[in-house]
Parts: sequence; structure tokens; C-alpha cells
Amino acid sequence: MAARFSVRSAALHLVLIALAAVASLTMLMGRLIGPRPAWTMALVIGLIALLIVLKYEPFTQAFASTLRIWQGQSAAEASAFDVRWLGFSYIFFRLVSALRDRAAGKLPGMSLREFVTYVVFAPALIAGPIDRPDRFLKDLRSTFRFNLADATEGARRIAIGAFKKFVVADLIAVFALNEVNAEQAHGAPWVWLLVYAYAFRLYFDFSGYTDIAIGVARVFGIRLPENFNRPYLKPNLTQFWNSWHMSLAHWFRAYYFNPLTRALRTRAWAMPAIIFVSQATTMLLIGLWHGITWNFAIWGLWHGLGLFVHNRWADFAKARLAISPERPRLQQAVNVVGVLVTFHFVVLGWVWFALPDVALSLEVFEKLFGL
Amino acid sequence: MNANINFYIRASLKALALFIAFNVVLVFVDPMPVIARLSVYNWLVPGRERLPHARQPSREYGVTTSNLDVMFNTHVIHGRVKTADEYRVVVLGDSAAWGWKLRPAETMVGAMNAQNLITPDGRKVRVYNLGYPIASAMRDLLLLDYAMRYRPDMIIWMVTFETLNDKTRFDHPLVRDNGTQVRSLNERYSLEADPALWELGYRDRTLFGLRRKIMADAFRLQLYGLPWAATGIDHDYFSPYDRVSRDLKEGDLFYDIPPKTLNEDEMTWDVVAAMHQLAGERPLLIVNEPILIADGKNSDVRYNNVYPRWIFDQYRALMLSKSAQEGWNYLDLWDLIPPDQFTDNEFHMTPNANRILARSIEAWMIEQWAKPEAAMKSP
Repeated sequence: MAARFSVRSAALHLVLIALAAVASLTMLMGRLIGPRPAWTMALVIGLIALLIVLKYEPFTQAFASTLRIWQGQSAAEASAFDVRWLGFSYIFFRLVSALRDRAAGKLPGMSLREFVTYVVFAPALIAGPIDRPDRFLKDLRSTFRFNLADATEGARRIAIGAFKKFVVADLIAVFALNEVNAEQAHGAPWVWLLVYAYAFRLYFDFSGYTDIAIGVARVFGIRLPENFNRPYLKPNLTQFWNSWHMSLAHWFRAYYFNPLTRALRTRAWAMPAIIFVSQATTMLLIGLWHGITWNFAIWGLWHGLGLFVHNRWADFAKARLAISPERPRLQQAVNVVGVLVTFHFVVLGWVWFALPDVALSLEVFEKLFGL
Repeated sequence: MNANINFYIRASLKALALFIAFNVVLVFVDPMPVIARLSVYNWLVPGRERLPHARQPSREYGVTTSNLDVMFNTHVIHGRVKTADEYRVVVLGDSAAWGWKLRPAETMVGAMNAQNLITPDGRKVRVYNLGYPIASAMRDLLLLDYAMRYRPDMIIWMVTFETLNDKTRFDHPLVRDNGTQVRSLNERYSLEADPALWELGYRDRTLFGLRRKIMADAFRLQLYGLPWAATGIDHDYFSPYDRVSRDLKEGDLFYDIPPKTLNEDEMTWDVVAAMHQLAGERPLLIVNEPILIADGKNSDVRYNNVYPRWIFDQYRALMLSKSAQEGWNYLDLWDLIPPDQFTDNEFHMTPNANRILARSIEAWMIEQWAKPEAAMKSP
């Protein structure tokens, strides 16, 4: 009888050793090569390659199979979860931040211990928020003394987060859109309900987790950045992305969008083209960071296009449709319409995000609009 | 900052005091009848076609609960006010009647409703599925007792030997978890009482005990009403299953019982009599439900892996003589369905078999209506 291997979580010490090894290696490489752009770029490309391996299912599977064979186990036992437990998604951002800041001469000097703590800081390891190295170091270096105010505030955030995650989100999850009920559901009103439920489930789940992460860090005297600011109440898509997964949006703005926009400006492109390319590719990358699939790519482009359209509309409306401050009710009405339109644009975008393939997403759109 | 901390301390103490007070109230007051009334079914979402039962809630969009108020408030029968032109039929029975591995429309009840039968006096026949998995006569009496408030005109009771075997009288979660109601039935109909029948103790009545689960299940069942409404799915009928074997196990044991004479005192005749008393003047039809009559290995000794021939033949003979003696309406359909029409066990049948079964019962109903003494009465 062939030997069978159970799929089990990796031991915590192995996870920490692996993560610390990646961080230490990056630190040492950074020390050795100094702030030279070519080397920095090579390292960043290496990290992106590793991210692709972990985000693209066939590559992840092949990597997992290789590891299994290397360990003398059957490749048939390999699963993407063999390597995904590493939690590399957010580590990637912190490592790239450090490398880019180092190349730009903005990274403050830090010890190996400080660097590893920054990269694998436990409360924010799994799902952020993504802190900047200089800001994190400031808190880390301040002498830790138990502070009742911080502990109380931390406990409050943990309690709120736990309520959002384990009560609200988990209850809504019962009827939130997923790949099973997407196929089973019929009747446009009910399908809308599933999609709305998914939108709120995702918000309460993710923001609840963030509250817990921020609360735990606060107890230890570290103030992690906020990640959400009432995103579904924003009157346009630009404001939505300034209030949804804020640390991710900030990261992409700082390390991709702004440098790309500056580079394109030197090429004398028309402004709308620069804006389109910058926004579309930024959002495409954000989409692909969640997983290299057609659905995440479409979700990213959906938002990229939405941001571009809003940008152009805002430009157009600013000159022609400005509302006088003397008409606050009209302004209020416009805001309400803006909130509703933005919310529904985001909600419909979640259809791509929530489902595993394009055909099923299109089927849901057909059901939503009774086609 | 101190003011803030004091606020949290005061808030926590008040919350604790309220929590304790709430639990004390729960010891003395059963909130379930009120909670069950807050059902989303039959107004926000459609009522369920059968009583809720789910092994995998997230796949079957339901929860198994033993609280009768909660169960019935989710059912479509609870939401339909009986009108003068409705002839209301309720069907009781085990998982075969409930419709294991079948959509509601594919069950016997679904097949009967699809016929749109009309009684001779012009009333539309509407059949309600009150079946529930695992056979037990006492469970069926409990369900019928509750269902009488919905004023049925006729009761169809699907039974098999397992239903009427005295060993299963109390061996059902609904019977065990509804001690108060079962005690009441025992007293009303002078039934055999189970000394081990328990009721919720002090601790179980608080949120630290069983009541937390009962309340949580009631709440979860409301939540699952939404995916149930969106999908119409109330059971996992899409997963593949192994077909019941037509080659039978060795020997002729019924569980661990070797062949012997089946005595009358091994049957729950008192429960059958109580069912008739409860039904009053409404016709109560007892149907000996179809079983798999296997044709493979050892089928000369056994009908299937549950029933050896010796016990089932004696049971049928007892049922025939007892029903003739007591004047019960009894239909013995045990061999109605060919073996290839059984699905995952000896009782569960295909949609086609359920249609055949429905036609046989409808034929009996029509025959009864045609009898001059069967004047149609609406209770």
C-alpha cells in the first residue's frame, strides 16, 4: 500500500524561520549591494517572480510538487496550501518598500532584528495593514512601557474587530455570493441580495480583521495605519479607493502609480492617456496581486476604468457643473446619488472578485439584470 | 483617560448584570414560542415545503432543530390560511416520505400536488409534507399533535416495521428533545411512558446550557431562509451517492435478533390508537411504505439488508389482522416498487417511484370519496 501523507499546517517555528530567512537574506543583499538601482531592480524582480509563483495556481502547484518530491513524498499529495501558508503577499510589500526606499536613500538605518520585526510583524502578517518602514521604526524604537490608555484602546479595537468578523461577517456569509450559490440562485432580487451580502461580508470581515490587527499592535505600543474609512459611503470611486484597503492603495501610489506617472509625463503623452495607463495598470496589478486569474484581472481593470471615467467626469464637471455653495440641498442630493452609484459600481465589481471564472460571473450578471 | 476607563468598567459591569438577569429570566420563561413567531418564513421568504433537516447547513441551507415551534413556523403549512375550497392533507412518515435525495417536487407529496386533485365537492387537494427522517411512531404522534392546529382534512401516515417497532418509540431526537410535549401525550392517551424522558434542567434553560443552541439554531434557520429563497435548495440532492446493494449480507438477523415470533407487545399499537383518537373523524390512512425487495445474494432469506423475511412477513400479517380488527384504513404497498427504483437505501426511492406511490394513494382516496358513506366534511 502506498504511503499517504496528511495535509497539515506547517509548524509555527518553521513558518517563522522561513519568513525570517527571506527577510534576512533581503537585508543582507541590500547591505552588500548598497543603494544601486540596477541591483535593487534585480532584487525587486526576484521578489515579483516569487510572488507570481505563489499567486499563479499552476506555478504554485508545480512548486509544491517539487517541494514534496524534494522531501521524498508523493507529488500527488502536493497542494497550493503547502506553500501559501507562508503569507508572502504582505511580506512582499514590506520587502519592496525597504528595497525601493533604500535605493532612494530614504530608508532609515536599521538593525537586522528591527528589519525582520518590520517584515514579519505578527499582527499585520496575514492581511496588513501595510506599514512604511520609517513610521514603523519610530514606534518600535520608542521605549515600550505598558500604557493603560493604549491597552484600553487596543482592547476596544480588538472587541470591535472580533464583533465585525465573528458576528457580523460570519452571519452575512451564510447568504453571501459564492461559487456554489451563484449557480444555484434564481430570481434577480435574490441574486442582488447575495451580491449585496458579499459586499458587506467582505467589508466586515476585512475591516474586522484590520481592527483586530491594529488593536493587538496598539497594546504593544505600535500604531499601525488605518485601512478603512467608511468606504461604502464615499460619493465617488476615487474617494472609495482612498478609504478601502488604504495602506494597499498608498503603497501602490507611492511605489508604482506616482513613479509611472512621472515617467510617462517625460514622454509628452496626452494627460488623459497618462491617467488611463497609470490607473488601469495600477488597478490591474492590484487585481493580480490577489491571484493571477482572469477574474482578478477583470476586477482590476473594472476599477481602473471606473477611476479613469471618474477622473475625466470630475474634470468635465468641475468647469461646467459646479454647484453653488448656496445650494447645499442640491449638493447633498448629488452626494447621495454619487454614493449610490459608486456603491453599486463597487458591488458589481465584487462579482468578478468573488467568483472563480468569467463564465460564472457573466451568468450572475445575466441573473442580476434579468437577461 | 481615567474617565474613559471608568466608562468601560461601568459598561462591562452593566453588561454582565444584564446578561445574568437575562439568564435568570430564561430559567423561568421559555422564550421559544415568541422567538419562533419572529420567523422570516412565509412572509419575507417562502415557507419550506418540508420540515427543516440538514446535515450540512452550508450546502443545504437549513438547520436541524428539535424545537417544534421553530420547525413548523418555517413550513409552508404555517403560512397558508386554510380556505373553504382547500382539502388539506398532511403526510407523516420517515425520510422516504420527507424525500431523501429528492427535490420537494420529486417527493410523493410533490407528485400528489402536481396532480391538482379535486374532491367530489369541488375542493382543491393540497398535500403537505410533514415527514421527518428516522422512523418513530411517537415522533409522528408528536408532529400530528402539533399539525392539528392547521386543520387537516386527511392524514396519510407512511409506516414501516421500524416505525411501529416499540424499540423506536423514544429513540428519536425530536422525542427526546420535546420531553414536555411527549409527557403530555403520554398522559392524554395513556401511553407507555419512558422513565428516562427528560426535560430541560435549570442550567440547560440558560445560555450556558442547551437553550443557547436551541436559540442559535432558530436564528441560523432564519438566516438560511435567504439562500433557501434564492436557490430553492433545502437538501443535498446533488451529491453522488452509492446505490443500495441488491446483494444482501449473510444471515437472517434483524439487527442482533435471531428469528423468533413477533409479539403484539413489540408493536406500538397504543400510539397508533392515539393517532386515530387525535385524528378524530378525519380519515387517517396508514400506508405500509414500499421497501427494497432485493433480488441478489441471500435474497431468499432477507428482503433487504434491514429486514430479514421472517420479521417483515410477521409484521405484515400483524398489521393486516390488527387493522381489520380495529377498522383502520390500511394500504399495504410494501412491494409496489421494483428494486431498481431505490436509491441510497432500502426505503429511499426515485422520483418515478414516488409518482407510482402517489398514484396508488390517490386511487385509494378517490375510491373512498366515491363511497356513499364518505360524506365530505371539513373539520
